[in-house]
Amino acid sequence: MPGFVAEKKRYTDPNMCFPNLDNHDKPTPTKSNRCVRSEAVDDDEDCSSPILPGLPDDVSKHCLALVPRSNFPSMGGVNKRWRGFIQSKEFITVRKLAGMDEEWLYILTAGSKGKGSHWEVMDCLGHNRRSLPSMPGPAKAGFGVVVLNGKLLVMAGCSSVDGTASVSEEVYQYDSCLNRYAFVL
Amino acid sequence: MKMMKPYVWLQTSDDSIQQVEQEIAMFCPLICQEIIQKGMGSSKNCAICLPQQVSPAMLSLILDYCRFHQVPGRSNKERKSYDEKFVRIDTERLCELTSAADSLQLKPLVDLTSRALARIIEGKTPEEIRDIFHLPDDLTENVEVEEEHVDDRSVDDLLSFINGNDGGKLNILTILIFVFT
Repeated sequence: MPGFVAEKKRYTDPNMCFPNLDNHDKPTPTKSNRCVRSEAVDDDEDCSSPILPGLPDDVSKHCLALVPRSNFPSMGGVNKRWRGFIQSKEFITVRKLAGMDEEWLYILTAGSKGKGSHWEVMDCLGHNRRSLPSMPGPAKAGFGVVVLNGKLLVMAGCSSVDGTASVSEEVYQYDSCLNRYAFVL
Repeated sequence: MKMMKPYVWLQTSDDSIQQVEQEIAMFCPLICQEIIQKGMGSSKNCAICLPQQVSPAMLSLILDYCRFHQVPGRSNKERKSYDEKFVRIDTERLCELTSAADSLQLKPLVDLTSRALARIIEGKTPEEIRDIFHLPDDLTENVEVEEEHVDDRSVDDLLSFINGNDGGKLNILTILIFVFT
């Protein structure tokens, strides 16, 4: 058997493990509300335009959930309303209800001395394999990773710039639907 | 108990009233409720007032759909092929039809048209999607659609890569399995 460690991470209640990142419906002006929230993560029902003209939003959401996931990066580029929905927790719920949810395996590999960490992804049958875009910021080692609402959060760790080691306070998330990273802190 | 009348009176969004075979119209849960719970639709004077979304043209399409599927003994293949042809209409009408079917709570038709709309979105660029549905472009930042980099190595190659047989340079740190729901 290949010598790798498998760990099943399935957080049904995000509040259990990461209370500060899921409070965007409460008006608490904490630091964590800053960057990513401004990027239309909220799926705001009061937005001026409907998702699809002439259709109630709940029907439109069902339509969007039926599109295969390889189209999500394009769909996220349509407008704010679409992107907000595709990044939302609700999108995951609607896809699950429509029977469109998929399980994917993420593998983190690292080169010696923490250089060249990168992610490989495959579906649960070992097909559709690809590499994620490289992680932003300087190369890090010893960082923490959690999965929250289909997003990969990479936190802290230490980086080495020109031979000098420094502790990182950065937190960024990989959005699996949009296939890109964003800084959280 | 009164005998069920074979026809029911329906009033569409343009205020016109028409007579429709009751057993066909009863396929729509909303119409069914009006007839059974409120005793509506038995005459022109107490016609069932359909939701705003249901124009005469949409009602006619929806009744065609119900009429076809109401006939017993049709094969699944026949039904599937009818459904495929049924949703081959322009996108604007497809949206109108979805909305009308939704307002009548006709779930099988909503599912059918939603799938057709999803197929329209599939494989399109953001610009094409905006053009098709007349959507505003309000994203201020320049969005680059990330091309997914497809890895063409086999799973065996990857396992050997993970296990460090690939020149011994790489070691596995973590594997995470998670569910996109």
